[in-house]
This record gives sequence, C-alpha cells and structure tokens, in this order.
Amino acid sequence: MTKPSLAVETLSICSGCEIAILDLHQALPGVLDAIDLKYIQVLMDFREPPKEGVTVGFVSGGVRNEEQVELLHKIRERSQILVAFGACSAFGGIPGLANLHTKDELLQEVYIDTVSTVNPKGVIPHKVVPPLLEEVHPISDFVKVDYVLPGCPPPPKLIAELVTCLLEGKEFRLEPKTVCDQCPLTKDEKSVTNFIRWGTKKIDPERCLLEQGFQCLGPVTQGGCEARCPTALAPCRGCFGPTESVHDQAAKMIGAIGSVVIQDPTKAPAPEQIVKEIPDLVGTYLRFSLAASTFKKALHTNVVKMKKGVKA
Amino acid sequence: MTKKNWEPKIVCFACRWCSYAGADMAGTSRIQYPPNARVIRVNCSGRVDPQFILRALKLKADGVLIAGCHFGDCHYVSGNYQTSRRVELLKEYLKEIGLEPERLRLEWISAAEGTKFAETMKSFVNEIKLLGPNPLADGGPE
Repeated sequence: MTKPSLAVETLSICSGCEIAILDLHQALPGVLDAIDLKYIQVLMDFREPPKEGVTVGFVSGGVRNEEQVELLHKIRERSQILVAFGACSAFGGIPGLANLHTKDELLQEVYIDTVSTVNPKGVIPHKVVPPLLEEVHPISDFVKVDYVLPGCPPPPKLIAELVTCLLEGKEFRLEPKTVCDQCPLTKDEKSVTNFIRWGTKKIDPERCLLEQGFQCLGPVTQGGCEARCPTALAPCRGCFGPTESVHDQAAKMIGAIGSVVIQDPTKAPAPEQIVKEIPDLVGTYLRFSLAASTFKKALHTNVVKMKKGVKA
Repeated sequence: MTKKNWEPKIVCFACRWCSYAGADMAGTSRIQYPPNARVIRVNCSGRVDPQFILRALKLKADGVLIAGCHFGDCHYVSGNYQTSRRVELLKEYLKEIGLEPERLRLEWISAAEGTKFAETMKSFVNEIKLLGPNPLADGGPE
C-alpha cells in the first residue's frame, strides 16, 4: 500500500501555520514515516500542488487575490480531503479585518499615505502582481471544506490528532465546548464595575479574566486549545472562531458583557460608559472572524456617509 | 416593490410582561398606529440575543425595536438592565460596520402604556422612512 500523501497550500497568511506543523517536534519523524509530504512551500520549491493529486490537502490562509482563488480551486480538485488549516482559512483571520476598508483605501494607505513610503509618482502596483479581490474571504466561500482545524496557529496536539484521525479513516471533530469549559481560572460572582484593557491593571492569577474586567473571548470561542492564553493570564482573543451554536462572536460577546456586569443597578456603570471602555469593538470581538461574521465586511458607502453626517 | 411605495419592515421584540401587554392595550383601546411591525413576543427583553437582532437586520429588516419593562419593573429583576447595555454596545457595533445605529431602538413600555406603544411605533416608522431602506437590501430579493 502506498503512503497517503499530503499537500499544504499557502494563501494569504504569515506562514505561522506551517511552522506549527514543524512544532510537532519529536512526533514529526513518525508523521513523516506515515505520510508522504508532497508539497509545502516553506520547505520545497514547487509552485503548485502535484498534478497526480494527493490524499489530503491543507489550506492555510484566507483568500485575498485572484491568484489565490485559482490556487484554491487547484488544490480542491487535486486532493480527496480538504482541510481548512488555521484561523485565516477558516474565518479570514486577522487579514480579514481589512474588510473594514475598501480595496482602494487599503492600496492608498499602503502605497501612498504611510509615512515611511517613498513613492513620489504615486504608483500603485497593477502589472505582474495578481489583482486584489474587493474583500478577504474564508476558503469556504469558494470551495467545499471537509474539515476545519482553527487556531492561530493550530496547536500541535490537535494537528497530531487530526493526522491520526485521517490516517485511521476516522471523523475529526472538535468537541462542542468553549474555551471557558477548559479554562482553569475560577469563575465566581459576576460583579464587573468597569472594563479595562489588558496590561493596565495587576491581574489576579486565580480569577476569571472576564470577571476581572478584561476583554476575554472565552465564552464565545470554540475550545480545543486547552485555554492556552487564559492559562498564561492573557485574555482569549478568539482565534478558534465561534462555536457551533454561535454565529457571530461579537454579538454573543456583547450578550456576555451585558450579563457579566454587577447586578445592583446603583453600582453598575452606565451603558454609555461601557461603550467608552471598549475601544475598537469590532476589532476586539471579531479579530479573527470578521470575514465570516454576520455582515462579513463594513458597508463602506454608508460608513463614509455617516462620518460626514449625511442622512441616507 | 418600487422605491415610491416602499414601506419599512420592522421587527419588534416585545417583552411578555409589559410591552406585549402594552401593545394589546393599544389594540383594545383602538389606537391607530402604522402596521409595519412584526411583533415577536419574548419572555423578557433580556432574552433577546444580540444575534437575533443582527439576523433580523441581515435578513433586511429596516429597523429593530426592542420593548421591555421600565427599570425596576422587570419580572426577572435585571433583564432590562442587561438589555440596555447590550443595545448600547450593539449600536456601536452597527456604527462601525456601517449600519445606522438609529435602526435599532430600545423603549420601555409598560402594560398600561398603550398610547406610548402606538406613539413609539409612529415615530420609529417615521425615522426609518427618513433613513431609507436597509442598505443590505439594495438589489437583493424582497
């Protein structure tokens, strides 16, 4: 029997997910014995997945330009099982936050407006480079995805679990649990009187971070990471994306914020005060999943109108 | 539907103990108000998950009205306080994403305030008419 083969396609991404595969450390030789690694751009000099096809294709990164759409369709055709590998391919990830702006705004900012840019003629690259799409997409917008392994990057333990499942022909599924379910910190009485940004106050190492007033996305985020951030006393940023019962991390988080505040109305902060205490609401709550949230992007024309105070 | 005879579609979540009874009061007192709202009865305004509101807007509702008991009257003690925080945060979310926060409105209407229910409905419909159709609805299906 020939060994099952693996191809890893890299789209709009920082390559951290590929490094996460290397983070298997001592388990890696075993994996490489069992799997034929056919294509991975960080290690091999190939431009596209092998024509003869592979058993499993991993796609890391969201879809930002037209070339990536093509590459994505190629790997879908050439692999029997397709895995969305990492937060970017699953929900658009951090690059997905670009959906708050139009394509033209982004190009203007990057190639002309930034202080460090020297571009006297104001040229925006348009030849040779593939044109950008209007917005960032998770790969599921274009192709059928068989399995999703979220995370920024996915933890090595889950990668090993996924590979084992695939080798044994089993279904791979994350348990329907939130980060909070796996978090070791103690949840106590919900009595927040003000919300604070991380790093501005001393942290109680025993107590739930959300109840201390930090913006921890644990209650709305898919578990599986064994709460690695809250365990290290850093609030969860939501890189595993929404759980099965959550469609929009921001909406669900707003629900959680509403109920985590102290019950006594005389001590509770005014709603307007809470809004002030949470700067960059969309960027905080949809840090990884804006491109897969309810609205997917900002309605640009309307944002401009509202800034100018023009009524529609 | 052409733009001329466009009528706003409004989803109204009314709390069972106060506002839904208030709407009933408006009805039994034969108070006239615009028929644009689809009223959904919920047990408490605190039951309204922000995801419901976003979903209504995503499905091209032009406005969402949430009606609950006055502070201190909540049947579940603090449900309406929670709602007040959520709505304020949601308005901020809508603003950042490019939907007018005015499309979301929170009102406290007791079971005796049939007139207030009718007045709220009138003013909300007028406000939404000024704002125009939900921008997501442009070119979309009816």
